[in-house]
Amino acid sequence: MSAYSHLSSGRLDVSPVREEARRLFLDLLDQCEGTKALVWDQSMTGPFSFISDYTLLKERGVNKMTIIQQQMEPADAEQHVVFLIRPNPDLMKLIADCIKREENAGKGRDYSIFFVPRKTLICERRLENFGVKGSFTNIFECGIDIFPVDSDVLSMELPFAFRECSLEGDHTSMYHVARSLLLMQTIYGIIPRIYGKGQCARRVADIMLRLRRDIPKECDMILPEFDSVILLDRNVDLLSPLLTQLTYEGLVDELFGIENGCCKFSADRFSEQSGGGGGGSAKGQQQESAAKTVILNSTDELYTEIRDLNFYAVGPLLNRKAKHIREAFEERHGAKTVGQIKQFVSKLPHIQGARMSLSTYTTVTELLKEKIESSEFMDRVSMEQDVFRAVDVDRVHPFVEQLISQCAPIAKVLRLICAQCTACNGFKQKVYDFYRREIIQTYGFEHLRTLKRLEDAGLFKLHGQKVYNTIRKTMRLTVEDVNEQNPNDLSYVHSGYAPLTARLVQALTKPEKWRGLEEMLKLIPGPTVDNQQSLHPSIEKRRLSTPSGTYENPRLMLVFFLGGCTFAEISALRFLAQQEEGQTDFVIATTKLINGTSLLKTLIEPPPKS
Amino acid sequence: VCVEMCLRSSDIHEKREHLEEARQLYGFAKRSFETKATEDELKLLEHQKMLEEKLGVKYVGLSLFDTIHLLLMRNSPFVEKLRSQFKVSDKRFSWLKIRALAAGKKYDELLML
Repeated sequence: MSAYSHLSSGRLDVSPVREEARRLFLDLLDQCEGTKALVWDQSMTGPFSFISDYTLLKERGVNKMTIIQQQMEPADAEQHVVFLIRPNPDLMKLIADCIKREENAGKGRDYSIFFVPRKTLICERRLENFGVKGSFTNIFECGIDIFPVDSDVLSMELPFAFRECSLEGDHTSMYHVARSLLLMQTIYGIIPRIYGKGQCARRVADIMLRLRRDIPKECDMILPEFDSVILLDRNVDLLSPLLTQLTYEGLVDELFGIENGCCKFSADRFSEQSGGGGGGSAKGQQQESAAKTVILNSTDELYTEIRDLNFYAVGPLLNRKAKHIREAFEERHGAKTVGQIKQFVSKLPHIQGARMSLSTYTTVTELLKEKIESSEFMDRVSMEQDVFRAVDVDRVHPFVEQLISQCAPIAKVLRLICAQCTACNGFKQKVYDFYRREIIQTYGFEHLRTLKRLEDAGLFKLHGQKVYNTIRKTMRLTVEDVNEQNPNDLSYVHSGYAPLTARLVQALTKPEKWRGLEEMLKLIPGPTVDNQQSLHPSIEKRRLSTPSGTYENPRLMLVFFLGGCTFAEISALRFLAQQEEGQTDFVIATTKLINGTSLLKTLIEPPPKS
Repeated sequence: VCVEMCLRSSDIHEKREHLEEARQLYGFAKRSFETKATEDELKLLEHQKMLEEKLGVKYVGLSLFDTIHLLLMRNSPFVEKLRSQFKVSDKRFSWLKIRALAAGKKYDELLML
């Protein structure tokens, strides 16, 4: 249980979200009789690690676990095979083939299927057409929409939400968002105020208001934890995810990739003593795979301290920490009396733990530093600085040209091109055609489709209305002379650029809210949302009588990113919460934690292998 | 645009038919860039097919520059033809050449450039 204790350590205890998900899952599992073999949808294993673990499943009679694939043999002696999947029509064939094979071999057993979070007609129809629908004892919906990733971050783990909404016109994921908000409201009370910006935000707010009647009556009597929810469509701010994140956590994600709160590094750089330390990695695993997994969440004190800092501020801090720890160790020489020695020994485990995690994160920092000091990274960041300041964005950028000549990975190239395109509100014909031609000639004809998708998503286009500069000035997106060591503004997360999303949230923490910004908001695509949900009169009275928004009792706001959010955006919001004038705390929810590369990869044809 | 879905077929003849259709549709839709790109792809496909028959190496499905890259590595005179037909700029071509020479570890020639 202790592995999840950090979930309740934040401003809002998010562990009930986890409990609820666990209960749903285990209840369904208990309805399947006998010993069980679980067959996982590959994309589900990560998210489920947030809510359950192997020992727990074992207690519930799960003896074997496999991943869905061609020619799989899910069970030997187990009585019951349970498929745990996303409603992905392509998987139906694999499942049907597997069942048919088993039945032909006379090894028929009980089968159940759990659709997470909901079944779809097309999946059921497919099973029917393959003639296996009747073989299932149970077809369940396992309505888990959202997973707690950290003490202040929730993710739905839907990587394709952005693509589905902005390209395919498939808004199912927004329904899931509304359902997850329904769950949040059953646990934490009705959220009285709904703000939002963008098409998807409007959609979610509408469904949310409609679903109000599904909230059990007794929940009306809960004193609301949240003052408001703000729904932000990724379309509102496409530039921020395209820029390189310069926070510690953001960089780890950019350069090594964070998945399900963990990151894998090659093990040879980690000295023996740091093994098993830090975030608590498994030593045995380390030797087998030559990869060290570091768990990155708020369980570790040191990581909590450095994750949101600009990378340039991390080095000095680690230095100071190392000094503190050395001093703490030196204390033992000063200890004369038995009492003092006792006191020192009692502190020892803590000091040793701190030393271990320090060594882990120092190594990670070194690894990051190597990559950051490469000229390619420097050139990229300096180009991005030009881009968000809208300097020279109207012409073909030499750095992009160079990258294409060197056949750099297409996602990296497109990321810069799209960022440039957003900052100049679409290219001139000549630039546009140049980039298109280069990409097709270098990376192949199939990318005609990629380009079309980017165009549809509004990431790559011909010149349109010049809005970026207006928005940039109104919202102070770019800031000169940033202080990376001791930041005084949230623009430190990109060394001089503040994500528009974070600025919009910042505006809402002030008394005037979005008033005065109407003109600017009109320039951002999609409608603006401002709805109220009425509370039960007695609750409303109680709410108004308890002062909130004060230093002792900050307001709590739920920020929901529709289509993904970056670690830098999260850091920006955490920074905002720490500011004295803010007096607002945030809980962040998203369809998926993303960075520019992972976002673009969902649009590239054919999908590149990670 | 949905015609592009058919592009995935592996057979060359089928591929050509689909491309032809796509070209016409792009023409109707007056999307000049896409029309041109499809035309180029058709031409490239012809060349690649010819190269495959002549050299016995797989070329179909590669991009223009990957094709040139491979040809440069085997010092094929055919490069010049592709270069002129697809109007590859000098700058771009030098890059390709450097990369090909480096990949082929022909450092002497690289230094001579």
